[in-house]
Amino acid sequence: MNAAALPLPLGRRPSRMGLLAGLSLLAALIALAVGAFPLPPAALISALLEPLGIDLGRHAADQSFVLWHIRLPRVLLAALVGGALGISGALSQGLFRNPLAEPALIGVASGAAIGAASVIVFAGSWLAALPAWAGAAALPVAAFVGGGLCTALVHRLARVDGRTAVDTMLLAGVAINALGFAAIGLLQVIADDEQLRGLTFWLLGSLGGATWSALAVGAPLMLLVLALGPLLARQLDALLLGESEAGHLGVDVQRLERRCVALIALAVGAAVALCGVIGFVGLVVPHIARRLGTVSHRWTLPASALLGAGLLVIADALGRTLTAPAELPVGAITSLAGAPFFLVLLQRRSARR
Amino acid sequence: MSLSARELVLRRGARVVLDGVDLAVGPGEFVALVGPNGAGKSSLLAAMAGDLRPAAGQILLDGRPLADWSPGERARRRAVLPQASTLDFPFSVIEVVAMGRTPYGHPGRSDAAIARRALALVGLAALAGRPYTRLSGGERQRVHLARVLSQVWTPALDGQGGTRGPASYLLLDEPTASQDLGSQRAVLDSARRFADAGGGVLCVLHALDQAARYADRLCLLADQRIIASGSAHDVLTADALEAAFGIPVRIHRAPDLQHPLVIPR
Amino acid sequence: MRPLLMFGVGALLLVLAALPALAAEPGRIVALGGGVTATLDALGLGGAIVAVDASSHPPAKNPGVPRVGYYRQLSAEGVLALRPTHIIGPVGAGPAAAIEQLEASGARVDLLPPVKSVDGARARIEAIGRLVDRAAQAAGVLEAFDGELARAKAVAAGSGRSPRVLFVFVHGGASLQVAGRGTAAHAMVTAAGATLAGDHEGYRPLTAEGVVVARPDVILATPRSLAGVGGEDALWKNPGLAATPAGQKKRLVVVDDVRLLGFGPETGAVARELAEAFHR
Repeated sequence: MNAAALPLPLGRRPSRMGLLAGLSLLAALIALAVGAFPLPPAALISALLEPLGIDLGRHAADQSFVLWHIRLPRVLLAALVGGALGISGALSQGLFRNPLAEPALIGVASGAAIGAASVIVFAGSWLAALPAWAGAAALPVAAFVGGGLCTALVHRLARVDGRTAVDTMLLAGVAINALGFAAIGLLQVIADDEQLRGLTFWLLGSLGGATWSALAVGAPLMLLVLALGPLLARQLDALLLGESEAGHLGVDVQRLERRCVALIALAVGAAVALCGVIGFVGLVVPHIARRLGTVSHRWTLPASALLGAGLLVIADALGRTLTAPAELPVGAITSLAGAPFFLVLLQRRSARR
Repeated sequence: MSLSARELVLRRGARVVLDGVDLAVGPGEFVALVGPNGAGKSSLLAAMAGDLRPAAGQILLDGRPLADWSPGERARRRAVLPQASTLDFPFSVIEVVAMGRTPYGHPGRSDAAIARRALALVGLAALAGRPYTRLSGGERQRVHLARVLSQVWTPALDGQGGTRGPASYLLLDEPTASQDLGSQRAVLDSARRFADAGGGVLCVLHALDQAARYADRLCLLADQRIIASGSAHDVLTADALEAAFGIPVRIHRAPDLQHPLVIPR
Repeated sequence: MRPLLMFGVGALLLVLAALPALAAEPGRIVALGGGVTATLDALGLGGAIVAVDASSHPPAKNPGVPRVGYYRQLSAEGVLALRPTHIIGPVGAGPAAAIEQLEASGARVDLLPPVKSVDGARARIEAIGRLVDRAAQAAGVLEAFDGELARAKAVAAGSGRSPRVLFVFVHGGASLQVAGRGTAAHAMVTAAGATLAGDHEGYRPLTAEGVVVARPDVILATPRSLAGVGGEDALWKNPGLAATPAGQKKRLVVVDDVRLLGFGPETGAVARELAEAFHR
């Protein structure tokens, strides 16, 4: 390869990014077309075009209802949550300079789980006294606030001499997660049968809560992270050289770390609040993204977002159809598929070295 | 116009590492820091890079305290090559070099061109597409040299006159440590080219003959101070070296050598 | 217990008061919860049920009816795919978004307060009878129901004793739990004219010492719980149980959990069966 003919760094990648975006879109279209309710392609297209004033007359009213009020918000939520989890995973692995890191390490997931579990186990009686909308909002709000508080705690614990040390933060995150796990265990002991089942299902994650109003709350938060995350790409690349090297390259490392933590907490907090815990997306997706392109964050951040979106949309489509008319929690599917996949990746990685 | 330390005092905890050091590196100058282990060479370099806060005295870049420069401004004017870098992700070599362009905002075509030229300057143009993680230690160090060169690239390095802004500075911490002869030479040649193109180089070196051969000026550090400074002929004297290293040495000067040869006795 | 019961019955009556006049056509019903499903079946609507949840036994006439999973984790689209006109289940069916979507689809959704007592079961049968316009059938079911309850009382009175019954249950798939006051099992044991051995609130893990203190004459279990501990022989190996009258005489009564705790139309008959078994 001669130097003059070398592509620009990332030069060929825009087309590959386009391909990835196309595939994710295709996944979304397929997900719109499958489900328990019969909606053949002709009816799907006809129902999709209806609000544009184009009446093909190939669909019934109930098909239009299922598409616009159940499937579409659900596919959109799956794409947003998958994208948010994917980009958070890539951000975490860059922040901790460790390909085995995941968003949960900043404490946001266990904090959210404690918040949600507390509402499920303790709040039953006084929630009933609240108006319906407030009762329904209590769990996501508690999860989001719990995630934020726990992240702040981990970040605070990692401060030494006024600086946040990333390796200390990793250890603090592990410790807080262990504590969170213990707290959930305790809540499971206290819980009665119904609460226990509610808790189990919440911890498995589900997109069953997808409505336009849920999207209206969650989408801005997740879109914000999807828009801002890729702006940190070059600085995160520099951070992989080491904190002082990044500093020499003009990166304000403390500010970069704060921003990363804030974005991850925002994205994961919103995702967990709306859908419960969906495992392995944040851990596995960036690995796949790197294998499809390069390790540079200028590729991995947007590519992880697109891949995460596409994969979660597919996982949810499987969850909706495999046991129809019942459904499998999407978190169970991502964990079932993600864990062995991750092991294979690890094997290949160590074989390459 | 220079990167300079003025009456610099550095402490690490209660220990004084540097005690009243004055040093200036000007444009076009290659300054070598030599001296025994623990004399404070790397600390002086780190202070000049802005990594260590002076307990007293100042570090100035173009007469302005280094601390007053924004991180971005500073990064466009000086680059630092550490003794070793840890990078565990399989970036391609050219991507690692292009990281040197981080302080210049959104990457453009010219940034990619500079990265390629910097890689060619260190003699590794052929490895551009190779995964960084598969390189040898010596190759990795040269890739990082190319990275810091691309960070403070000056058009003069392309052999063009071009418009010349204020001089930039390259701070190298034992860049030849644990490298083979060919690699050592490639590294120091590149640094010399940078100085010849109008940049300033401050380089910690263990090998006195390398310092003598490449540097315009040597600074001999011992006991937290600079005890001798000047050309190789001025600094590499038996008295000064014995005082610094604590062992007797013989200085061999020969007409066929451009610089004196230091032989421990 | 009492205020709770009255609250439950009161809530039921409010629900009933709000109901519009109903058509005789039963439509396509999705039944959630063992008690609700059994009630609809007993009202002759087994054929109208198009789906049940995981906790229900399918109606006798319709054994292959689709299952829509756990009633708190319904799939809105999965349920809608069965084109239901009427969804009947307990309060707590969800998720809330799915219930909203089902209502928005035009299907009628009726969620009834949870029932944990014999009186609650009666009230629910009446309520469902009105919901589906089968009040007359409901009255018939209740007549049989009350007859069985009266027989249970007679059996108990005839024996002149009130045996102590320990109800064991596998809770959350893990350890064996013992029922205490306020549980559905408490209501059933009481209806059978026996005394619940267990002086605590709710469920509590089974311990050897706790069993000795409880002094049960009879052990009551569900088939699932019994399988969970490894069968009847394994149950009697509990060191505490051996020291109790139940353990010495190996007196064990096993009743299907949906029948025992579902509080449907069979509740009266189950109470009578329990009374006969306990007072033997």
